[in-house]
Amino acid sequence: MGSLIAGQLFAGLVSGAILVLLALGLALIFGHLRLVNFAHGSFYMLGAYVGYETIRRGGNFWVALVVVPVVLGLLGVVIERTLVKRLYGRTLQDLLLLTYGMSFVMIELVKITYGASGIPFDVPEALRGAQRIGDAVFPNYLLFTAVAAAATVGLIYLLLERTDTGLIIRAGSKDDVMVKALGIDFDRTRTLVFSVGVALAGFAGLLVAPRMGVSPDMGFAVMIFALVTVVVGGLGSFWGAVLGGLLIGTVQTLTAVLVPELSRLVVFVLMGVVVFLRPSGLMGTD
Amino acid sequence: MQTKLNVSVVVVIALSLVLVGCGPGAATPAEPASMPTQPSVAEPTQPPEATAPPSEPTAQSQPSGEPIRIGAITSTSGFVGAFGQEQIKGGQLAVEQINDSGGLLGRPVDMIERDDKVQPAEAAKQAEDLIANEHVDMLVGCVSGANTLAIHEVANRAGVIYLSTCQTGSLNTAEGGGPYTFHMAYTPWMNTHLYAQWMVENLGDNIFFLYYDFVVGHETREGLVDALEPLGIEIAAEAAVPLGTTEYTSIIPQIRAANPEVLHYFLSTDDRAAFLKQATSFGLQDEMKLMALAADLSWDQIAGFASSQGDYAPANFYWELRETLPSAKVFVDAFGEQYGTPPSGYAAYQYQAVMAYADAVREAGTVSADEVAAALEGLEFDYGSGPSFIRECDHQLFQPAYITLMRSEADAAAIERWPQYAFREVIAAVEATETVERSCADLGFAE
Amino acid sequence: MKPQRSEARAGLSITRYLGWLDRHPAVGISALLVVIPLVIPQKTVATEILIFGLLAASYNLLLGYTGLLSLGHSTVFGLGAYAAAILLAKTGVVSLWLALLVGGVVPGLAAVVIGWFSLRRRLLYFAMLTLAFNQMVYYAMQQARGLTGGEDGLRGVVIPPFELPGISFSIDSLQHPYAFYYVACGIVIVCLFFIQRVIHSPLGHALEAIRESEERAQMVGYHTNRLQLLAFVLASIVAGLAGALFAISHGFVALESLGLLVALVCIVMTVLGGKGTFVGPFVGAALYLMLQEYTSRVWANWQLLLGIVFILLVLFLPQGVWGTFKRWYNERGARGRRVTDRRAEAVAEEVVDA
Repeated sequence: MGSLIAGQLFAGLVSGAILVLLALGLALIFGHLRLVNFAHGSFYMLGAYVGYETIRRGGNFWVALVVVPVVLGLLGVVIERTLVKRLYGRTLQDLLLLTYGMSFVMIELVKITYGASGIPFDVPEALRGAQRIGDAVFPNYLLFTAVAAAATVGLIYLLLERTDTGLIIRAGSKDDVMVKALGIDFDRTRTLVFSVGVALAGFAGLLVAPRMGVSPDMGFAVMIFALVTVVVGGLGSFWGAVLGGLLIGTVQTLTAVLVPELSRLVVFVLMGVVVFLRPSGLMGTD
Repeated sequence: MQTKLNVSVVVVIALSLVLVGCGPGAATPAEPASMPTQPSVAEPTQPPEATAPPSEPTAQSQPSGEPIRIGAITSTSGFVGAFGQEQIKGGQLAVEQINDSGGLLGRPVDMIERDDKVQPAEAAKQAEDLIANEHVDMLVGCVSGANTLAIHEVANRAGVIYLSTCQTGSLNTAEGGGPYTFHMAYTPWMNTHLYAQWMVENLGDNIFFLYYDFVVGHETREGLVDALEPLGIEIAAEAAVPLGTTEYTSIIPQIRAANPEVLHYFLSTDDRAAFLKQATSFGLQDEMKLMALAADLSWDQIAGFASSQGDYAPANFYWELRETLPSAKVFVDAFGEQYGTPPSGYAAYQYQAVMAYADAVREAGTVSADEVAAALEGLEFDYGSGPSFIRECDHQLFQPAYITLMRSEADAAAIERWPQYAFREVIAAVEATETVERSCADLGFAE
Repeated sequence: MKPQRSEARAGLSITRYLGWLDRHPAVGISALLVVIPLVIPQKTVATEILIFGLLAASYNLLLGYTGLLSLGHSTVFGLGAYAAAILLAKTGVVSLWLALLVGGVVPGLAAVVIGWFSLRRRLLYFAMLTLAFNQMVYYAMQQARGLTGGEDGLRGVVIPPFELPGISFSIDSLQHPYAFYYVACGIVIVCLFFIQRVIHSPLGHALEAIRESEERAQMVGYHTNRLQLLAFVLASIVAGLAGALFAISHGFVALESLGLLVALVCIVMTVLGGKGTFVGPFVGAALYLMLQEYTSRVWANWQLLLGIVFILLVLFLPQGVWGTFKRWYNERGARGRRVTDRRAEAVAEEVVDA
């Protein structure tokens, strides 16, 4: 019984880890750009497809781990410079419509290129199999995902806390007027933050691909949960995204086991309660 | 504030409406999306005999006169878009074959396709439009259960023949069906009753049942319980998941803990692929046999070879049937010639529905709904799935089920034609007698 | 003297008439709606524009006039549809008026609850709360299979006849498309006049003030929260009526009517047309529906086109199609007025010289 719970808790944490990556990207983008990126799920999906394409062209999964964030990051730069830039200061519904439109475009282009259905994506050879501890089974790939996600979060933390750019980003989230008044070039950091956020989403997509497959619509459901996570954790907050993601992931996984019909609902009720009682989120300072 | 604007409002809007009213007509068939990038197909070696089309050779006269219109409503966009597109292909093939052999009652057959965008209200709207504005003689198609019920509501109100080609348990009941609606696909009840015995006899009787927590899922469970009862077996353990679940790492330990012989699961498309991958990573396939509720070429394409090892599943149609069933060979080869790929079950259902309709129209000698409905009742045919018939009381299709087993990639590569699609081999056939479905009386029909 | 004067008077009365029309846009729209079926041969398209136009118009009251971005407008639309459908299918009561009544009242009551909770917060948090409620209602309706049919949808809705003392005729949209359209049109027109009344009332002005700056409105003495709640409820009642009409037109209701897609489409139509304008939502609804319909008939990947349209719209026509047109016309009109003034001057000079 204990191992069953341990196994499920672990599973919940790993699925939470993916949410953390997504929520982190969203939180960064919102914190620094004041923009809710409703197309985040589509970048997640693109990451998986870019990974697929990398492997198809003779690369392997390890290569994809590097290629995907780089490609998505570049894409993020392009999109920020051309589209997103024009929307700063615009209303929420304008942002919603633009990013919604972007999603459609990305999804349909993928469908045209790769077909409307999902495509197979296998776990890399080296990561197949599982560790058995007593009765509990821990698939190697899940362990890898957990490690990769943790490493990435650590990297972002270092970026934010230990670099000058990170300092600007953090300051910008708190008070962008002041930062601009200090004469700091905001445009560059904005582009950077957007592209990092997008790269995180794509990386998350690649990480889930061997377990959940690759399909053009894989971004929708996860987008909603990522948004919920960010709201629960606190919109501009790093730790909010981390804690929120782990919380939501675990809650959802455990309810899926205990009371399956409620698993989707529980997350929304949780969000409703948090927003109602403490709208800035668990760790937010909005 | 200048006030002339409202006149211009009227002018501009009226103009645009007029333009739209004269806009694109209805009869343009939707372009099927191009197939996913696949490694190049090796030239298929010709089968020993030339394939003859099911109807008479080309010496027929050209069909002429007022066309018979078929309205095909299915989901060609959205996350099940690929399946809808398959249906369209199957339907188009049937229409082409009918027209090539002289048409129906000497008249050409026209198929008008509409996308229901996986929304029931949209499906209803398209049905209304096709009936009221395009004057179709019959409607066919669907991918989702909710959509087929929506189309049925409209067709029933209008008194138009509708052939539903997707799974639902709600159309062949006295309350849920109608005099002009025919269910040309299986019900969850029938599904379970067809393979339950084979599963118990060949795989084991300690069964864990994993299923979707929604209407069809529950109907399936009911059917399974009822099917297992005469064999003296109950479901040993079960778990229900919401639709769209892609995270099974918490369910899988549960399954392992129950230690069943057979894991019987009802999941579809992307969820199924995700489940199989995750099950593989936990080594589930080494500990028990896996049997799905159904199989389809499109689903196997999504999951791929690696994660589906050793997966058993029943199907009404799998293109491998061409090896053993002459009618399947005819259909598969014709489809292959037309589209370059083998047909999936979605294509087969639609193809068979249209061909069956054509048979009924020929028998009735008219497209009038009452006569065609009467002809469809009790109709027998075989258009690729083996001996099929439509039961009179509930307008339900009965056809054999075939137990399939997933091949390894190496074994599939050895297949001559279409190795990249040779996911499954057919290992058994189960005849469809009326007993696999509830009796007419049970469904509410007076008998 | 006389000829010039009557000429001027003729000019003035046209202007006055059009000015009246501008202040009562409901009349213009109503006239248009009456005319549509004679212009568009497909009644199904016309009916859809009617119903979704009303939905968008109700959403406009929330978004355009009060500035509240709700992600759950489909909740009230769907509740209205289900309420009417349950009445007509399950209770044996076959009355158009009662169906409309429950179709408006049930969502209205729900809106009081949802609005009260959601309006505790603003902007994105408000939106997320409405989303949370949307999911909860969806879940509830999904689970209540006996009542709503669950994923199968609620079938067997009996389409009530239009009944008034002395008149009774069927409005089954399949058998009598014109009948259904014009009855629905009548109901929509009533709703439009109601919305117009609200917008032109002190309440409407207060709402616009709140939209511009809630703080300022509070300082002027408005109970902003109460007013916003009122707007929320009124918008929900109208949306519910649209839902009831929807249920009657199709004869069934699906779970998707409560879903996120409808909620998003609502927003899209309103923004596409031009939020904050009266005509905008109808233009948006018409454009969106026709765009979707005609592209989906020829291309399976029609959503690509839709996405591009959204992007271009947000970038280049931020006021929406109608909003931009109106602005352009007004600016042009201002120029025109200057010309007219000059011409009037010239005429006056002639008169003086004569």
